[in-house]
Amino acid sequence: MIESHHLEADVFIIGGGIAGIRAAIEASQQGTSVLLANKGYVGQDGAAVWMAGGGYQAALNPPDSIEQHIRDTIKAGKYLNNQNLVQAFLSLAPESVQDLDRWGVRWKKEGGKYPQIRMPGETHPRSMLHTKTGEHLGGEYRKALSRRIRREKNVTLLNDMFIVDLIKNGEAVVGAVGLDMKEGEFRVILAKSTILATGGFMDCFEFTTANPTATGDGHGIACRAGARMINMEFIQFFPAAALWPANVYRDAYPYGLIYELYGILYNRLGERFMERYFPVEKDFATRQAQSRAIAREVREGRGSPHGGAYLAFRHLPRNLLDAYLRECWDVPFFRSLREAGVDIREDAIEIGPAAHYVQGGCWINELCETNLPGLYAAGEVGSGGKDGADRLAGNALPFCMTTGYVAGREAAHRAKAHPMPKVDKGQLEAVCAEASSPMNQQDGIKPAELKKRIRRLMSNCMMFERKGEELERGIKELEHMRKEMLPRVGSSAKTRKFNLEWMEALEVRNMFDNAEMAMRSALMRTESRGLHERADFPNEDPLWLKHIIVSKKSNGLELTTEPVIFSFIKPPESSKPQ
Amino acid sequence: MVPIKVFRFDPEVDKEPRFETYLVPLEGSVLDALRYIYENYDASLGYRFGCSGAGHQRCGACPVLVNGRPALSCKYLIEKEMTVEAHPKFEVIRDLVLDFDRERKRDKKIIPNVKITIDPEKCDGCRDCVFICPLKVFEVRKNEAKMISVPVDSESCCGLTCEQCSIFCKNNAIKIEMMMERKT
Repeated sequence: MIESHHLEADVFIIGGGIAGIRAAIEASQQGTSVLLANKGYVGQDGAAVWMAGGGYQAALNPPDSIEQHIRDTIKAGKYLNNQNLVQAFLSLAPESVQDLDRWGVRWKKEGGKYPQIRMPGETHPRSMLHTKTGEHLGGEYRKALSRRIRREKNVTLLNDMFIVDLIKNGEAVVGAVGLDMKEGEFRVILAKSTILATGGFMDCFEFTTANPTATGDGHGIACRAGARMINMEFIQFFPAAALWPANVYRDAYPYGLIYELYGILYNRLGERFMERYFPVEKDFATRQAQSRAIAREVREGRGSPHGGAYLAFRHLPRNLLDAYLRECWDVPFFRSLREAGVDIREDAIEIGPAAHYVQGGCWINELCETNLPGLYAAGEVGSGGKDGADRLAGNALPFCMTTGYVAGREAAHRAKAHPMPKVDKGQLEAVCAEASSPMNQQDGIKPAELKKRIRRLMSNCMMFERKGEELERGIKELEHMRKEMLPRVGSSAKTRKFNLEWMEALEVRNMFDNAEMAMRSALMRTESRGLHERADFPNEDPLWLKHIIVSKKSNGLELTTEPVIFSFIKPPESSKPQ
Repeated sequence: MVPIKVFRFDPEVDKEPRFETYLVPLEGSVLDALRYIYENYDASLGYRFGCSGAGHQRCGACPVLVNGRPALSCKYLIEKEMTVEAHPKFEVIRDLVLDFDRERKRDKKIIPNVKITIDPEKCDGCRDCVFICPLKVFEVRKNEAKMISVPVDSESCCGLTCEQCSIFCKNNAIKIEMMMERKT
């Protein structure tokens, strides 16, 4: 079953998105050997970063400053951020812009400076632009990063390698067991340091801007290995993913138009409803505020036909729009609109909130270390509570670049100081036996079916206006499914090579862990703060200025709290405990 | 529902590739149809994907041949009478799954999709197109005094379902023209 020959490296990285690639480059630059496993082909896969629209924040142009960036981030995070992490990583953001520039990302440049625009929640304009007006930056990252990683001599890419579980020696993480999809065989990877960079679990929801590959495998394997997970109740919804026309369904592009073209949201009665909720910010409110407002309009029967809101630009002069559209003529989104016969000078498009980003993940410190020796986490899974209760638009990618850099550097340092670890064969066999079980099922439950049920459940009780009893019911149902259905999940196809159902069955395990951690944390937090909105506890409660930490014990998940340390700025008086 | 013919081949078991016909809904993209087949008829169907269909950026994970012409399956809208085959640029791992590391000797004629022209004035041989193209269409070669990108395998190009090279060329040097009615 397992080959006796193990793959070995100083640093082993799980995930081939922006954080994983940045970590690999850094570890390689430090002179250590690197293996990078990705469940697709690096650079041609479902990594979230390739689909990124705009949004890259870095304080580059005065009067903006790193300090102001940190303040904006903490304010948006409702003071629930780990301020030390925010400070440590955002200070590196301007440098990361230079890195990407050197590697071939074409930021817009004028007179040696990078012009920036202001996105919601930013005090000063702080978001990078593409040289072509209106173009996605995702393709730039794909071009630059997948090219750069292949130039690193110390890095070996393990494409189509699905990581099943981490392996440990005592408390220390010493590598992982992977399923090599191309061969349909298990591989053991031994490493002195392991970095998780697997992104989020947005695929646990029905409507999401993320790719179906975002099943949160890193969250699942980390939790099973005993890592402490933090802020799992905070899941960001993207306010403006396209619901109509059909040929742009799920496209996140319209969001950019809200701030680039000052788009206005209407409900089906034609009301500018954002004014009602946010008299000052209006349509320019933060992402969560927009999402919540749209969701409420829909729930109260004022939604658009496809279950969202109308986004319109008719208030702008026609020649101004013409000038913009001429510049964006080639942008795929606008081409699709033309094909659908929708003219934004006249017609509104329909948009609605979709799961977009997970704020929760492994607890980490400023060195990206988790609580398990030898395990590091970067990017979305390396949460550490840096995003707090809500994330500023455009903060995800700089955090990925900077945590990737730090994790790569620190993992390399550790690797230099430690010998190659040993591993117990019994443990490997246990992992492989469990991971083989979907292949041994006869007439098992289809993983796709189980995924649908999890998505339904999460969409019902984990979006807006969460309710205690609904969450309790949801957790019960999830437990029931875990007990009755998960052991019977099986692959109806028995081919070993590139068996998608086998991989999906293993993803489902991670999705169960993620859904349970998220729901239990949401049930425990009896207040509303940022992305976490409880209908039965509608107000912010100063006593809840603390993180919820989830860890897996032999009898299930254990939830504890940890105070927030206000090392940089303190919350305003009104929100302090009395 | 419409019938769709899909290429099936397991190099370890099958001597010859075969085609199987499935009934799929007439909506969404070819990728949606493959997903439908996988979920409802035969989970052993192997295919690659990055996104989940229309409305996303192109990552290049899912090149196939549709009715003999190359396309990214996520961006090609489903229509009546379709045949979907593995893209012949790379070796087949199983069914439609390609091994992007192993190029295949071309034994089959592809109906060219597009005409690619590179403006020699604008191109500076930066290799961005070489790296972003999922099908290795370009090579940078020496042309008189300077290095310039050359479309050495435009037959493999997925045309307007992909277009990454022309969108991300910093000098706007690449022009892709469809030689057939456009389908995206």
